Amino acid sequence: MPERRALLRRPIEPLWLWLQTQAEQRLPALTRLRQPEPLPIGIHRRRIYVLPSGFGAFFCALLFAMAVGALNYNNNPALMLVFLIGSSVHTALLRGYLGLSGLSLIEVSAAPVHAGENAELRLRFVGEGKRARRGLSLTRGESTRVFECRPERFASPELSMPTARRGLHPVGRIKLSTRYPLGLFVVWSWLNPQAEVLVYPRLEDHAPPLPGDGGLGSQRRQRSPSEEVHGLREYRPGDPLRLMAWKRSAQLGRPLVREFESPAGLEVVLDYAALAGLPQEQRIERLARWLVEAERRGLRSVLRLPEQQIGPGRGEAQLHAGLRALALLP
Amino acid sequence: MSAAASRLLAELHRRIVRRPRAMLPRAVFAWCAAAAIAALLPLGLQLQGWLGPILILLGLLGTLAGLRGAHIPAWLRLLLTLGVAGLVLYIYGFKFGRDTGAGLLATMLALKLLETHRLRDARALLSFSLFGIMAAFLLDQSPTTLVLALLAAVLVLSALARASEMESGTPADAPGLPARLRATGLLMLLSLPLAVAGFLLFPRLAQPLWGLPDNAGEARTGLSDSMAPGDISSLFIDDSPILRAQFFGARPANADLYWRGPVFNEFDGRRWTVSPWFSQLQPAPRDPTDEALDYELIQEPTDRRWVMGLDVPLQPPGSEADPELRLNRDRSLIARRPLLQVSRHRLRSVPGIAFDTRMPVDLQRRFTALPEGFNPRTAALIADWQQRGLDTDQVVREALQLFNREFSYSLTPPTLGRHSVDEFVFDTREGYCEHFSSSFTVMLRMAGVPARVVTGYQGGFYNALGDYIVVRQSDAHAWSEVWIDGRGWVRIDPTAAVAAERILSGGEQASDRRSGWIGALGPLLDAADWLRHGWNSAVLGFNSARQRSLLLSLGIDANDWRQLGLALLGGLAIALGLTLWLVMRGAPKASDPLVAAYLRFCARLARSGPARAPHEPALRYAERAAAALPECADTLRELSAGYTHQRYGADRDPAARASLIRALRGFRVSRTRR
Repeated sequence: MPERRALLRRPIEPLWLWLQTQAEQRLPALTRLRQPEPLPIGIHRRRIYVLPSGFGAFFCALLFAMAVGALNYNNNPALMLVFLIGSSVHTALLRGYLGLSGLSLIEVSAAPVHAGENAELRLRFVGEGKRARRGLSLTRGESTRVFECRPERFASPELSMPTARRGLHPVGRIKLSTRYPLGLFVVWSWLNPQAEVLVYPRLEDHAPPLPGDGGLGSQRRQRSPSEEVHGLREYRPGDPLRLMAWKRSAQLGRPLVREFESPAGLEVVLDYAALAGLPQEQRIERLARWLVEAERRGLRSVLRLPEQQIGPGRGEAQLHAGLRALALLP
Repeated sequence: MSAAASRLLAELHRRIVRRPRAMLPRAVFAWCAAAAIAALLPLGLQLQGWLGPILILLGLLGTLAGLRGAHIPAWLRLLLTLGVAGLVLYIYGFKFGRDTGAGLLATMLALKLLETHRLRDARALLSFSLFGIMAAFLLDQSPTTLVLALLAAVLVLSALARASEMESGTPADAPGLPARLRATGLLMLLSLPLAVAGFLLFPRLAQPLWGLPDNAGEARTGLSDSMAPGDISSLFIDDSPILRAQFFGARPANADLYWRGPVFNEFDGRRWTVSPWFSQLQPAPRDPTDEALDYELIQEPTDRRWVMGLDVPLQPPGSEADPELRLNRDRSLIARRPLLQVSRHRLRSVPGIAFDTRMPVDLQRRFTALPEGFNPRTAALIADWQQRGLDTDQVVREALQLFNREFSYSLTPPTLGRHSVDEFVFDTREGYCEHFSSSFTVMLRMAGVPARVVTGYQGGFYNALGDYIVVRQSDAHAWSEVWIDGRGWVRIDPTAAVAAERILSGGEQASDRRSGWIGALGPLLDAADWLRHGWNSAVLGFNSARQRSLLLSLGIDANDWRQLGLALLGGLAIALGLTLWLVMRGAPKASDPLVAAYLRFCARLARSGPARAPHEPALRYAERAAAALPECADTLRELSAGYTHQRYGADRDPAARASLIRALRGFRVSRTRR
């Protein structure tokens, strides 16, 4: 069945795309497809479009035929039925329209991911008025999400967004549509929020070990005397288990982590210029991998890039600053 | 034998049931099936004989098979379709008309359930169901059908909603059965203003767009276009109403309640028929009289063209408003088209008025014509009377006396042969109105007196609740009319000579209904009939003419299409506004009474102070509101703290909670200020 549908669609699709582009070119104000808009985006009547779905068109034709028949026979109950169903269809259309109208997109966020992974694009909507808005659906590319927006609440549907390349990517056009309640009409609006998703570089798969000293890893395991326990601090999410001070934690009843004072010179230097022999993307991927690796091991690192240097430092902030800088390299 | 049968059954079961049905989830299928069965019900009840139950059973079987995920092979479906369609055609005698069409439609609807596998099928089934409801209305417009149809429509819309949910991806908390029915009911209620405006204001057709199809001889039971003695006896046990009349002035006496139907001039020895040429003539002009009875007549569908006006009907008042109706030369009212629906007519009649007082001799001769070679014994009797020198009046009196003396009234008389009048007058001597009127008319024609048979209804039951007269099929009657020079056509009812009580009591059914245990139900039956009358006159009888008068009362001329269009647009706009308002304010209530009370409290506060942002905690909002309304700052803080505690706190006290809800509900800014 899906194959058949795809087969059926194939000849229509180019035509449809062509029509869309034509509409965009001719009626930019009407379609608002081109320019990203600053948040919040309020969805109001001028940007809501309604068309009957295929079945809706058929259903309306059927109702019309029934109405003509009932009028011809002057059959009042049949006419009442037709008018009742017909106005219910109309109310359904109204319901669908009102489901979109008054909705605002107030926030778009996505946690950064590495290229090749799926970013979870989180959109936050709030609806004005006291209506529950059911059966809303978000579509971006292949990804679709059905959600509902209750009055006085936020709705935060998530869309997965495939990523291919590092860098800052605009969110692009998202279709917000609904077929609620009867599936006879498609009510939709295009959202093109001014928001970007940061995509970190891909991590090189088989990267060589961290540069500098190959023995660094074994040193760490042996707890070299040059490395002194500087003190204890509260556990923070993300701290490696290795650093837990189990005994002290048990004594005090709260998780504690050892803090080391790494002597200067033991930090990893990740130099862009040092990888001169490789193609640019591979250099970036390798640096990203090393950065992650260094963070995993709890090492201080410094990232040297053309015209900028990140660090030296350690922890989430250093990692993300480094990855971000790598992602944004030209 | 039984082993072989069980093996065959097992094989069939394996083939049919084990093949999984793809695509359509069970819940969606169940909804669609319920809608289809509900739509089949009103249609099935109108079908002939066992066809309806058979089709409904078939639909239920299809539902069961679908629910179990069975896949019915194509050959079996084809076989079933052909078989049932053949059965339908056989039951309706291979005639193609409205009823056959409805039967075939019901068959398709029932069998479509067997091949509902995908969303497409489901939607086709639902569309088809709507058509089925429509067909049921074409067959019958009683309140029962209406109620069943309304239920079916609710189910169809609910199933559409369910199917649509499936299409877009079912949310985790799909509403249950009551919630969904409620939602659909609400949708329809919200649409009601629009539907009513459309129904009342949408221009009706005074003329049909295409000719209404003849019903291929499948007419309903009722008076027919010809009469042979023995025809209408089946009507006497049919207690369904045929017409209801409401008089605007005085009500005629029961003995005057003769409802004039087809008038028969031609006799072929056995059967009386209407003469087509005579129907074409204009009625003789008559002086207008003041003492005419004004009444409104609402007639049930008959599939024929006769309108049973009270004897003797005058030209309907405002004929241009009711162009459908024509008064014939024989004073029968005839509609332009078969009356397939309930129709309402404004009529005037004068009981016992003289008409056709002058008649050309060649026309008179037409009313004394009889076929040669029939009924010799009666002819001899009449010749004997004529030799005794009896004039017209005396012949009439003699015949009536003969009936009165030696005849008896019976609803189950012996059948008559070729010389029907002879056998009736000399041998069997029992029968009912058809026998009496037919024989009496023949006898007078033999005497050279112009005479004819009139059929219609006699009597009626007065419903005091609604102040109208209801006439039933069982009141069907036939009488004679005799033309006397100078006095015109005079009604003579020979049946009255034999069974006068039938005429005076206004039909035997009426008297029967007041006896025994049914008598206790009398007021209830009256009320039910009154409701039916209201339904008929308000809804079923609403037509182009009624719409005109409705619009006229609003000051709108229906002849001016611009005014009509404006009225329609205006009405629709008002209805739409109402719907919109209802939709917009349809706020779903919070399920927790505490939250509901708090939200109402916030809404009240927002009217005089700041509005709460959706994400704002209760206490912070209280501070903000307190700053704006220092007079009631303490109350606000207290209530908000109480709310926060009751909603999020660990120890909740039901009594404190209830009193907090009361306090939140009772909060008014103005009251607190004082």
